[in-house]
Amino acid sequence: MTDRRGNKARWSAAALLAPVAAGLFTGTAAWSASHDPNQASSATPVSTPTPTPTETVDPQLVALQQAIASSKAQVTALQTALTQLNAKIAAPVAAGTRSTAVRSTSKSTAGSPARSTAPAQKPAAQKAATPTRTTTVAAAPAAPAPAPVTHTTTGASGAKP
Amino acid sequence: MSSTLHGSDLTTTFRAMATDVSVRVVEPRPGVANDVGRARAVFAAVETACTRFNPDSPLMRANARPKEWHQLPPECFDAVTEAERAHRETMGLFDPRVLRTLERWGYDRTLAFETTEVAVQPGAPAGRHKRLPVATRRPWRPGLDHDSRAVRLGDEPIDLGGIGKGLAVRWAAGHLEAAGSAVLVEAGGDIYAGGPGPEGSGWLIGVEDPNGGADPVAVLSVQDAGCATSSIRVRHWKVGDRQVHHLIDPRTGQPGGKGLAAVTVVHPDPAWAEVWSKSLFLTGRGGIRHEADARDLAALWVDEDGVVGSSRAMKPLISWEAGNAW
Repeated sequence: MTDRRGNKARWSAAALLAPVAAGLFTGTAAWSASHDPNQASSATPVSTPTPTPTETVDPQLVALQQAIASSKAQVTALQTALTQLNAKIAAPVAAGTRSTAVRSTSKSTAGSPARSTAPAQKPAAQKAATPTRTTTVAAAPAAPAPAPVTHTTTGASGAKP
Repeated sequence: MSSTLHGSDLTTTFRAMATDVSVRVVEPRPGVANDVGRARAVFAAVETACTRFNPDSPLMRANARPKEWHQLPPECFDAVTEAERAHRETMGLFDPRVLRTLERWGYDRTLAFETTEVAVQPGAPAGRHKRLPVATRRPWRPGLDHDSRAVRLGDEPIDLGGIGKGLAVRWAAGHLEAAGSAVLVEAGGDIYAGGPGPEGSGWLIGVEDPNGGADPVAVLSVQDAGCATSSIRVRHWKVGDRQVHHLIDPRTGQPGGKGLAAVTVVHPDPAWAEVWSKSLFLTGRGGIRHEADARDLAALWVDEDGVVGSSRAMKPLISWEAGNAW
């Protein structure tokens, strides 16, 4: 009788422990499957509330990103202007004019500073994101505004321009 | 002659004085055709009286015997009178006696500047006065009898081409004052811009690039004033190996305007716009700003490197400028 009671007790304990062990194993397996070991090693507690973006982004970083975006836009605009200017310079030469129309433009880049800039064509004075870009942008000529449509032209007598 | 009506504007074009002439009238009023006809007649009369390319013209008859008195038609007499005044007021820089030099360099006939690179051989026909001196430093003091419209030119023949065209524009514009709300007279770069223009904010006049660029070097907004340009873009040629142009400095007898390619002047009188554009050109690049500012002249110039400059009086008239001003 004692053995029977002992065996019965052991079987009862085993019956209770088996589901607990199985549940524990299943839970452990499920947990391990859903967690990155690298993250698991992080010191940050799981229960730590997730911070909002506004709390973590550095204001200086935001300002720099905005400056970069602005400078990129400026560089793009100036590159477009440079392309147009180069096309304008090339046009009279391609047309085969007998005189040196390009001189007026080349002078604007090679001449003295006091003479080289038209009043209405001053480049925007925005800061570039990096010193390299600052140098590049400052060297680019400003885009000339197109000449307005005129009613007539004055020039050399004896010929229509 | 051709006339076209665009919207409320009437534009008439015709050929005179070796150039294309156009008359544009904004909001023409009844009788405009007669006004334009009188304006055209002015150009024909000035050309007939003042041309140096017709030996039978009144001017050339006087030039043939410059020391004698000659009775002239009103257009030619008035042109001589105005030229004498211009000679005095420009301190001799405007001098119609440069004709001798032009003839000596082969410009004693119409040359095809517009279509070819003109070259003249040294010793080519130099006109009938080739043995007379080229440069003169003596003031020009022609005899003028206003009652009989008679002149005695002096020692040398004269050329009235430039001032004659300016006067023709002035007189033609006088016939068009009541033709419409605004009027534009243009003859080979000599212009009178009367009234507020088609848009009511002034006539926009492009100043051509003397180096041949397609775009103007500046755009001027002009109202009730004349405008003229002296430029060497077209009328330059070779005499042997030497490059010359038609703007002769009477002080030296040589091509003038050192360092300059063109000068434009806006002046209430189109004839005086012509006088001052030529005279300021002859001052050269080094002196033009001082001279224009001292005389309060509205002047804009382009030097031989293509750099644009302007006087104080011109700046308010500049509505657009290319990117090479100083």
